[in-house]
Amino acid sequence: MKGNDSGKARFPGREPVDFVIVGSGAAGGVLARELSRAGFTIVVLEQGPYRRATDFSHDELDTFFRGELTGHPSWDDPQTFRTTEAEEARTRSGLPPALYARTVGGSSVHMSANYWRMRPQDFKERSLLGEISGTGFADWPISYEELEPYYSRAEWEIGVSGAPGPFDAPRSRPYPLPPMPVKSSGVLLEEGARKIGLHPQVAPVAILSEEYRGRPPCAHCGFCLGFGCEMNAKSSTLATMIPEAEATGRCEIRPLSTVYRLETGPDGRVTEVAYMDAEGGHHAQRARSVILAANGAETPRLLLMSDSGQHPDGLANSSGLVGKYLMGNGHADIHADMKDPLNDWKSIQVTRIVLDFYDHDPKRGFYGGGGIDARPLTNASPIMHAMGIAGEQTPPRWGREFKRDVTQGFSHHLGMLCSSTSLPLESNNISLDPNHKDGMGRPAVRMTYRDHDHDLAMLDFLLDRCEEMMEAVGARRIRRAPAQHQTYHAHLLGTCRMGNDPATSVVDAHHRAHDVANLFICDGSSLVSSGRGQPTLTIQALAFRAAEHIEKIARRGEV
Amino acid sequence: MASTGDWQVLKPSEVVELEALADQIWPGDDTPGASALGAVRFMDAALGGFMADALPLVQSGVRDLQNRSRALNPSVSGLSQLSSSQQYEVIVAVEQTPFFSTVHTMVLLGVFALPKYSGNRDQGGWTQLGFESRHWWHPPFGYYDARHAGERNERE
Repeated sequence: MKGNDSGKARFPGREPVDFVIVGSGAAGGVLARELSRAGFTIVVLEQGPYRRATDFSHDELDTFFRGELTGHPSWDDPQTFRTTEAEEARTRSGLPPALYARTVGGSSVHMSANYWRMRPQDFKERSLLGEISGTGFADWPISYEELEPYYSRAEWEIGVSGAPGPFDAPRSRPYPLPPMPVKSSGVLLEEGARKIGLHPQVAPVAILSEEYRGRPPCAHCGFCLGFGCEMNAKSSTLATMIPEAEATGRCEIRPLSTVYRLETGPDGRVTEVAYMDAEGGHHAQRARSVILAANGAETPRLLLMSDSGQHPDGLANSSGLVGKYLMGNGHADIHADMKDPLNDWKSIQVTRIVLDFYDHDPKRGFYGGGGIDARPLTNASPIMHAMGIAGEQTPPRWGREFKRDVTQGFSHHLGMLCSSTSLPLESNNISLDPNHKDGMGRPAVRMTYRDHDHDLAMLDFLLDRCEEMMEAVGARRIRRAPAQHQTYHAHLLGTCRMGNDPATSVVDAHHRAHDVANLFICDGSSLVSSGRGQPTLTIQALAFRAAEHIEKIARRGEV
Repeated sequence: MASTGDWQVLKPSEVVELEALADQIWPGDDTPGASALGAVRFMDAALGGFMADALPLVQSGVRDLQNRSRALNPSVSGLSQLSSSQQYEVIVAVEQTPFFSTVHTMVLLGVFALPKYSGNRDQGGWTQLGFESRHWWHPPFGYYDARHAGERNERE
């Protein structure tokens, strides 16, 4: 181990470290902390800058319009989108198709921090329900029971506030922290749900309701979704795992380091990771093993960019499934105004949820399941609230009535969000765009995505229930549109799926690439099915489990 | 009104037109409209800075507004000299254009963005919403959770 004056690890690129981890987000942060604590030397390559809690602000213009957290800080990194492979993918202004935060801590910094567990059936739905034609619907190679200890571990290590609900899967430990205070939106969801015979429950969130491990409780500032927490009360890996990894003296976080290639040796193993710094200078870090945790869009991009004579279709891609089966979870929202003020712009996004429709129900006539929550969504901040009301019509609303609806609606707004399953389709994927490159010459991320009809049907079903709940609590000016095909995703899932068969999966049940013995892949790309939304806790449970296994085999010299 | 003092990139003739347009989008009534809140000051700062790419679109859009206004009433120099109902007529005719959507976005940014960006004068945009920029709040946050807490206390 090499130290420097500040006590933080610094490793020279030419000497191999035990692990290079690409990405410092929900999974990368956990892996860095676990493996550095286990005694291994680690370099984490993060393309974003090293922002601290004090660098975050309530600046909506910066955050939502200038992409402070989601844009690339050093160069243009365009992405393209198309709905089918027959179309030519195009760039566009506004939100990027693969929406994630480029900063130390990754998207765990700007998430709204809903921390749902998956349920036992999520892992074996293919066996329970049978084939769904035209899809890659499959069982996981692991069960809920195998993952459960790591769900508990993640909740306690990260800090999750909550209380069990009536349909929750069995848990070995209670939540470490009591629920967050209920907001008016949560009270109304509860009331509406009960009136139509449903069973609302406390929303589990990775936000502190009380002081925990030296971090202060949430101050309810309201700038949560899309923003970094200025208090460190949101349990991002920036606030939790990364300082603990650095404290070992064996983990170097190297920000503004954008990876463009994994180099392999004559034996097919990864030897080093090539990256560029903010000025465009080329570097490489040698490593005994590499872990990709760059998210479900950037991880497949890197693998596809790392093709070679031995790996002509991209690294770890003998199955041809790298980048395929992209799932984003279905999302649809509905808005209304209440007679009295909710002030839903204060505090966290979600305090109550309804999971009555989590399970698949053949009576509905289509595959799927989902959840409903009450939340302000982007109406929690002034500009985005006004934009949302302007966008209720095309062309945008303006004038006296527009002003009235914006000003009266801000504190009276009640929103609900439906989250649902996405079926895995080979035609939904991440690939390298042949026509567009980023500022350093890397092929752009190309997203091809079209929601399955069942995904949209599930969302419309959930929207019907939302409308009933809203009517039951006396909501006015209910604004609802049919569920729309999604054109961007903050949940980037399934693109390097795990499985036991190398022909039908990219990584094994412990996240080792089937094709490359010293390459591990652990992030949203590992998921085999999409759950019902809120994948971050599952990604972190997988990361804790992967770290334990990787530690074991690394000690035995088996990587 | 707001059109006094130095402007970075906008000409005075453009400022008055943009003020008229901004005040149609976000009108003054019992509370200030967009131009009094500094929305056009914001536009000038943004078009001279991080939105510089949009300046030609805005300038040609203003010329188009002036032409359309003169076509409606040859005695005026532009939108700002039309009656409110005539302004409405001109704007409805351009509301599908990239120019209008760009100005519309800038008006909302100018009314609601942090005052450091030159709009949202005296946080007047936020006042209209009932929004306060603070770093902490305590429950109850709104009417329904307060009522819920009251009912719970009565039961206990």
